[in-house]
Amino acid sequence: MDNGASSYRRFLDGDESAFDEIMKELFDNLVFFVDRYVHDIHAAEDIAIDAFSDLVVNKHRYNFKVTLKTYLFMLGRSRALNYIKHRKVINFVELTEADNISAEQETLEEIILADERKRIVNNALNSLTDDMRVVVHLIYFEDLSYDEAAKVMKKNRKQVDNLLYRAKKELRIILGKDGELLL
Amino acid sequence: MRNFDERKAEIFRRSENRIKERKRNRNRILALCVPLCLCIAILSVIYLPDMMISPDKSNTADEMNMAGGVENSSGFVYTSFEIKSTKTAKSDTDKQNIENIYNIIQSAFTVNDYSDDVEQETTTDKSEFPQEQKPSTQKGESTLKGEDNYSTGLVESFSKGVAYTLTFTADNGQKIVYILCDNILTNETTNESVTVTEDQLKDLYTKVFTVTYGKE
Repeated sequence: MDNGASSYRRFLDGDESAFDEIMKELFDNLVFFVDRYVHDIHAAEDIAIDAFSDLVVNKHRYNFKVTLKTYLFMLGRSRALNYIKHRKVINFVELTEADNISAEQETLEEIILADERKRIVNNALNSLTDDMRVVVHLIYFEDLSYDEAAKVMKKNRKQVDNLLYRAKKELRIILGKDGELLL
Repeated sequence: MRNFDERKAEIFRRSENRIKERKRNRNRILALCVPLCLCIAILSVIYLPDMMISPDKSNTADEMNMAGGVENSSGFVYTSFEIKSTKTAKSDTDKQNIENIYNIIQSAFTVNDYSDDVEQETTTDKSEFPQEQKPSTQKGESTLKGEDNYSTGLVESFSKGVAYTLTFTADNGQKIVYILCDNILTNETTNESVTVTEDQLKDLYTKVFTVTYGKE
């Protein structure tokens, strides 16, 4: 499947079930990606819902020049940054609820990061800067190309190259020689 | 976190709300813009013809043009006026004054419309003019008007029997020449002549001589 583009075409032609396919394929990944920015799984889900609702409301804004995944991630990223900008109140939750949140996060991680190697890398990502973390996520976890990652992050390819190089260097330090092989 | 169906329902619910919001905003804008456009259209219909006419008026030669002066048939403005007689010659470059003089002359031709053979008729009109009784004015002496027709206390008047040549020159060099002799005004170009009334003569004199001559 071309990351949802053909499904979206069918959806535009009136096939509602095509939208289900898109959701099944991309929703959890989008939530996981947005969570890299907002560090709040519920907010990330909310933002992902908004991004998908963009697909429904502005049906002809997607011009098929990039993959649907890239387009959705672009939408998710800009909404996430907007959310961070306007986030005024830090929500304090009860400890019992906090357990649930982290449990949900872990569940999502388990779904996305079925691969053990990816889980190890994911844990190491927390020590990286936001941009490095995002670029590793896009390239390594979401299997986007360098160009697609550049489009999502609104940077050029060279910048993505540099970020990835520096991220790998940091991870090498964190994970050691064995960890390097995971990348 | 929501399950799949809940997420899907939430996506479509939010989409519908956004579409409704968009339609509502569109209607709001239309509700505002349509009366506004209507007002602008009505105001244009009322005021635009007047605005369109005013620039046109300034282009016609027989309309008053405060800023630009009076124009000839080719659209060029008369920029200088000259009056000559056997005794004296004077000129004026004040556009407003030139326009005033020109308008008096034009009104004479418009109102007092006579044929070319007007001399015989005008001989009878001569008696109405005071300059017949004041031959000394030919020498350029100041003359107080003790006559009926000139009660305004003007210093001079048109001398009897003296031909005054009034020349209007436009900025393209085009000229129009009038000859004023006694009370006969002749357009040299068209050979059209009229008898100038007392009031017109008075006005003309005031405009021409009071400004251009001063005291002689």
